[in-house]
Amino acid sequence: MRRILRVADQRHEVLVLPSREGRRLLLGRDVHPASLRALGGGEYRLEVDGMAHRAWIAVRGDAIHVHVGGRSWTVECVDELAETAAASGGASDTAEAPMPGTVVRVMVETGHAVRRGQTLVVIESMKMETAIVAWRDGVVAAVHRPLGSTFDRRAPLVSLEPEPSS
Amino acid sequence: MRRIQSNVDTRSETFLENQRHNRRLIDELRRRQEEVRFRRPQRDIDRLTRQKKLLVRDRLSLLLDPGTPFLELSTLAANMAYDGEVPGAGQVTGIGMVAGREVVIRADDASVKGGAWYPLSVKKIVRALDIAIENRLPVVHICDSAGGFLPLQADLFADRYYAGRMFRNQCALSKMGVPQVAIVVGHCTAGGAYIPALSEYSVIVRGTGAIFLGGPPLVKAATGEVVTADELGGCDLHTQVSGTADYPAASEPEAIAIARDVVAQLRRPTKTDIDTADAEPPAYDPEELYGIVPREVKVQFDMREIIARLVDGSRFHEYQPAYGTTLVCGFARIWGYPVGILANNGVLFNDSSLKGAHFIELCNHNRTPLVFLQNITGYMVGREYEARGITKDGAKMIMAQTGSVVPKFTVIVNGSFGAGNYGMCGRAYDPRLLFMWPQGQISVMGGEQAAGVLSEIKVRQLEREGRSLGAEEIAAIREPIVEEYTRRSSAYYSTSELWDDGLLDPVDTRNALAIALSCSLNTPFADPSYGVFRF
Repeated sequence: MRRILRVADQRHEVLVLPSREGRRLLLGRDVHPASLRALGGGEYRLEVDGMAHRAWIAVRGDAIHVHVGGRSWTVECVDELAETAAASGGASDTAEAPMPGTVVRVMVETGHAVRRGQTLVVIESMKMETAIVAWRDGVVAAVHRPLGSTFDRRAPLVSLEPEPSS
Repeated sequence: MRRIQSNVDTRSETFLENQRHNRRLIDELRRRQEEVRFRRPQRDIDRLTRQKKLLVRDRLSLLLDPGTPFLELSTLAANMAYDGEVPGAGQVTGIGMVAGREVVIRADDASVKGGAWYPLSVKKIVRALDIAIENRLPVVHICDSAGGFLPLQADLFADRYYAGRMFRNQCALSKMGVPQVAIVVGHCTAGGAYIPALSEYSVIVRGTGAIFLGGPPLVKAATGEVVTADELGGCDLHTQVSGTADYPAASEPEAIAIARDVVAQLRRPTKTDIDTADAEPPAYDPEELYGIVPREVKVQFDMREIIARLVDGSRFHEYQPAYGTTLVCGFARIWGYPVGILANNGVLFNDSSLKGAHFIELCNHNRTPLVFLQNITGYMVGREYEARGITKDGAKMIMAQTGSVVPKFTVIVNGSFGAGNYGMCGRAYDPRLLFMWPQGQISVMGGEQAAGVLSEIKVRQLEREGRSLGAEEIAAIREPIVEEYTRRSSAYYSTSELWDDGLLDPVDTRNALAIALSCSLNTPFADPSYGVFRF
């Protein structure tokens, strides 16, 4: 199994391979035999390269807090799918109409800074109101349909300024 | 599996207003449930105490394993029937743990009209036994009933799913090798007498328990014979002479202890082997559901936000994320059980209907239980969509739905209107359990639209008779129609009529589904087969 971990802003790829006792960790070209045994109360016996350590581990969401050898580390598990999606440019800069309808409220103007989750426009279709919300933080580049206008499915509704590529 | 990234702003005014609104609805739900469970007129409580009988809730707590969950079903059955005088339809049903076994419990509530069976009581009993059949769950009956409520006998006796069905279902269970245990703590009169007689095991309490086809007054009227209830069908007669009941007990607690001991002997079912994983709580707090479900049924919301608060780790593998986007489909886990989820994100179009049918087939072939999250106004209307075959595409979804054999569970999260209810596994499509959230609405079309159609017809009829109507008169015709329509499309009406298995606090949904999933694995998955899809 491949794990992508981020420790102190450093990205590491670790291959976790099975072995007869515990696991083998493949880091770059180095192989490290390792095992982990719970002792209870968040305490663990960690063995790497034949050296035994006492470790305390707490998991919170995607973050793993590890105390070992007198130091504390926060290890972040990176979702490979999320990472690759972000790298390939990811989402579009324009929200399209999920169904044909009418614009019943316009909540933003070109140039407005918006937060992820903020309502941009509200459309009505088949007697249902749908809020089109910001899918990321950004600045409104254009509101394509004025209040009261009707549109077809997949019509562009609101665009955000392209994200500066990092 | 990727974690859903929530777009909900928990500090926004909309979120906070929704939260206030939905918490009020939940408080109201809790209050009404408490009343149904515990509030009884003092004279009824006194009568039971005089008869040395326990209240049904006390019987349940003696029966159930301490500290285990009890998934009570249809608590608010009959809440809008019989002038509200038959709380819970005089029955307590649910799924619980007894001696380490998952069982269906069905108990008469003698504090309500002497435990008499009303038409909705019969419906609730038949439903509980249907659940036992579909999930191969043993049943524990706690019997204390005056029998059918005679003034309404025409609505509970003769039809296919009326009283006879209870006993038919008991026999079906027995035939399948799923045992039943009856605890006779009061009278089992007339039809009610067959419940212990058709159970594999029955316990009867000396002094208060009795089983007979005709009670003492009927016997006197019919034959002139004068007997006491105990002589006619009491504990000693049935456990020593007739063999109608199996175990005598000196008291209710003893009877319940014997029943627990019987259940402990039952063979443990082999669960269907599906790929379970370690459970993980959702990454997003389920309490946030209160801020997401809008105050008005016509306001749409992203169902992924609901999924994120129901499933393990908020992880969701979305299938066909770019196709038919008004139906969200994908895989997730609930308490470690794998599920395929279908959730409405708008009206069903041709592509979303095809996607739904396809995903149902997919989950049937890879043996994944299905969870339907309904918020559906229906299938898209209009010439363009008819020309593209929206009706035959909707028909495909219904065909796939009907042919599906993996366990299915439905939660009506908000609206459930029109044929969308069918395509999304409404009651008629045999979900193992169907729950509704308290603000949900269910009807053949939206209330406003239906009232519009109905009042329009009425107005035109009057106009044909030569009367022209002013705006005020039209409103006077329209308003009562809207009111009645709204009343009968509410979640409370649905649960009153047993169109669902109960109203759920959104926060409890995850646990309720996990119990349902666990139970569903007692039955092996059959092989799917379908009728003719119209392409």
